[in-house]
Amino acid sequence: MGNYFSSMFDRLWGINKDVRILILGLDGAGKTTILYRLQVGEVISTKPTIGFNVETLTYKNLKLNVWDLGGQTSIRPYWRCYYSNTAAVIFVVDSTDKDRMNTASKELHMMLKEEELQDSALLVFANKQDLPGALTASEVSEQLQLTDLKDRSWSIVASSAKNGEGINEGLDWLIDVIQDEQMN
Amino acid sequence: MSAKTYKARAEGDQMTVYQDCLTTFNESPINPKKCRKLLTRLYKILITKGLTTFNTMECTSLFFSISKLFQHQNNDSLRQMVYLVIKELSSVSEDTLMATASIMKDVQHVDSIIKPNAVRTLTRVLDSSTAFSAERLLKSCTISKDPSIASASIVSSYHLLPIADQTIKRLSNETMENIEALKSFVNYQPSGCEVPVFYPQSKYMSQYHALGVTYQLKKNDKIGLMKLVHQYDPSVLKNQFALVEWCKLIGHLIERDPSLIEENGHYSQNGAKPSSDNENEYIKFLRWGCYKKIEAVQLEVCKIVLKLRIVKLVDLVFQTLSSFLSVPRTSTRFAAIKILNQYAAVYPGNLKASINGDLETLINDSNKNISTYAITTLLRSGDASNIQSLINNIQINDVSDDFKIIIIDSLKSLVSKFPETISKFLVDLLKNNDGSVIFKTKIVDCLVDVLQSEENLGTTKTEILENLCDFIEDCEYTEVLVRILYVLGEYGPKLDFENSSLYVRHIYNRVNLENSIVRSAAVIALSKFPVFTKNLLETIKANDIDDEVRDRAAIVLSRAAQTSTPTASSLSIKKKSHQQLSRDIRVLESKLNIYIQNGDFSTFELPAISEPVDSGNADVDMVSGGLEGSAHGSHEPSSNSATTNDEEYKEIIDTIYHKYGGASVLGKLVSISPLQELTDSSSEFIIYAQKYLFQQDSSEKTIIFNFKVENTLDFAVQNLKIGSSDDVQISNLEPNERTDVFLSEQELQDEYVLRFIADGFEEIFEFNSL
Repeated sequence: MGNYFSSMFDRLWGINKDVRILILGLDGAGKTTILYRLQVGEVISTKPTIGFNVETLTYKNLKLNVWDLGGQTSIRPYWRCYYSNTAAVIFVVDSTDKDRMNTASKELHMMLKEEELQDSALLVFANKQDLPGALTASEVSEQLQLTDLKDRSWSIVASSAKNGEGINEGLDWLIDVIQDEQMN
Repeated sequence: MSAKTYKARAEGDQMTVYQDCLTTFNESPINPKKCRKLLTRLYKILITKGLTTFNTMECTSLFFSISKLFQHQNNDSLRQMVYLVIKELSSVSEDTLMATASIMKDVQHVDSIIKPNAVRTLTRVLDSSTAFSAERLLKSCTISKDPSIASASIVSSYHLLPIADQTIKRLSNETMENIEALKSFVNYQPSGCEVPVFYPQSKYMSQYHALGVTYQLKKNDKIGLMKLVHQYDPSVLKNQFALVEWCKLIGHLIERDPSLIEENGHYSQNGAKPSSDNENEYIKFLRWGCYKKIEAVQLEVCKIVLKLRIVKLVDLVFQTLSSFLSVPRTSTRFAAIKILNQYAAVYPGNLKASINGDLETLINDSNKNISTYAITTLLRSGDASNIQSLINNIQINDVSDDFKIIIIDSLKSLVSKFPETISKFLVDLLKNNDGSVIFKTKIVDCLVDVLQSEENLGTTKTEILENLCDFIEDCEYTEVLVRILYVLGEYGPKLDFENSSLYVRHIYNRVNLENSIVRSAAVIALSKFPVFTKNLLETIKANDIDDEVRDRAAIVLSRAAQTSTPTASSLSIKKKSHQQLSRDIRVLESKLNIYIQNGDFSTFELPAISEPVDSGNADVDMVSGGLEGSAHGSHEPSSNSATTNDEEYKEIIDTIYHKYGGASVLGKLVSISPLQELTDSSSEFIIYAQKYLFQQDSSEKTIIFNFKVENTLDFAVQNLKIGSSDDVQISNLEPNERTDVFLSEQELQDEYVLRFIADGFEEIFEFNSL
């Protein structure tokens, strides 16, 4: 009976619906590491993703379907095949890779123009903060021209997938936004 | 999508399934049961109606929506269906690479029923640039204790060979371990309960797969293969497919080197067990196979023995085959009779002695295919005494078209022996039997053979012609009609001139009744009877509605007017030999290329083209565009062709000058022949030859041969000699190295022999001419 009520409430809040989240970004930014840091809570060794990884995880009573798509140039064109029904996009940037900030910015803005992603929230991880010479979150934000974004909930968080810094903080923000949106 | 594709699909529900797939798989969360059912329906469509049901774009979108099902983990039956469908789609759909990471993850982590499916699908989505990343996974699967995982991995490596042979070569040890390790389903179950074996033949299947891959890896390495045969003899091989494969391997070795089965062949000490008696070990192996009580093995040995004509075993093989002819299993009977049929002409004596009796009973076999083969086999060894009765026995109506054609083929070989009997039968077949174009064409071919034969066959030939005339009155195939019209035109005037009016009447009927293709052919045929048909042709020229027909009529008429003596061959163009013609065209092409590249369209000298052909040196007259320029002028590469090529040639020419005393001795380079491959690409050494022709003045010519030798073995070879001289031309050739050898014509002394010696193993290539 209790179960019944809880599922009633869930339905009321729209919580039992799977939430689809994409993790995107250039190759070597740390997308796969973040995915498995979220799922198993530790750092695993990864190799360049040919295609995608998908994991289901529960975070604060919310069932998340997290898709980590490969970031190599050859795979980027296929990102769009996975845009539909996406609640949020996590864009991962290698903060030490100053040379490719421009490319990252272009890819990000191109992606956000897509019709299917108009309502999804954006979380940017300025990753690899543990390495020396990493740009700060605000510097990355400036490089990516995030301030140009209108009509979208977005946030940037300095993170390190290696030691876990900032990951949960970022996800908490994202979940709040998603829940807010579902209640409205 | 065009209206046409819609029409083709009207009957099926493919599009419903397609739409359902797209919507259902994109739902969130998905309904695994529904998805599985849909995938099953999709799979059925793909399997039964072929991949062409969906075009590339549809396949790609199907693939992407299916890839979304990877999010649903821990549902093996759904995942299995996903793999099956992706495997099918991968050949048409683009971008299946996207599934790589997800499949790899399954292969890596899961140890369950879906792993073999995952491995098999993995190979389909990989390409040459990503194959290496699967190496470690394949390795761990290959050594898996589970036979289905090991088999899946080995079969996958086999499929990867064409795109990533280097990767698979690194797996060869693990693969070979599978030949010895008898991996069986029975012991695998953790609970200890036995899995029922539905197919007893599939026991130790991984052995067969592993042997197949190992063979592919070593197929260019003869010594390696011989070692393989000895290492894995029937004491190791338990799977019957593996045994068949092993026999094939022996056959392959003997085929490549018949000296292996000579008594005391000098290879016999090579890792072999000492033989107690004198019989050659390979013969012994085959003899063993013939006695082994597994039909597949026995049949394979029979095939090998007959194909390679291993005289010692022929009698035994015929005994075996003869016993197979009376077994109740149709498939075995069929296999045996098929082998016999194939080699009937080679062993007529054996056939008559031991088999013919069995064959005669098989003529009435309930299986029409077997009885057809029995008759054709008998025909091949038939003689005057029984041929008529055999032909009467042929029941052509009940068999499929393929077998009709087989019968005609076997009759074709007999047509020269018994022209009257067979042509009568064939004419009857042609006129009174339904059949495909190929069938009818084959019959006409046979009849033409009779017409062509030099012998005086009395009225047979004219009867054939008259019957052909009858036949074209009611023939539905344009191709056959055209062919017969040609035959009538060709042989009518020659063989039966008195009856010309009959042929003309029949041919002219076609002009009135048939389509333009037939009419054009008929016009040419009519022109072969010039005395009777001039007026007819004039009418056709004036009245026919088709351009081609009128043109042909006009041409034959003007030809006839030109030549004072109108003969049947007035139309045939004087033919150059085919080779000469093709060379002319190649020279013309290169000349035209230069002409176009130069951009100077004012002059084009046609006579220059035939010049090299007529210069009397028919062998070496291929002139490549850029090179001729450099030969006439200085040795600067000419600007109008690919310079890299020229530089390469220039280097070679410099080397030749260096070796043979420079331009003062050899003269100028006149021409270069195209690079010719002397070996086939699967041999141990790949050899190309190219001829360079130098000319001092108008009289003295020197030909220098350039041999390019490539070593495809995986070890270095030493002391390569070319020609009869004892000088070593190449002292050492590393694996995959390619090297040039230059030899003048005198040095070769008309003996085109390449001799390679490596570790006491000698290989000789002989070429009759270059």
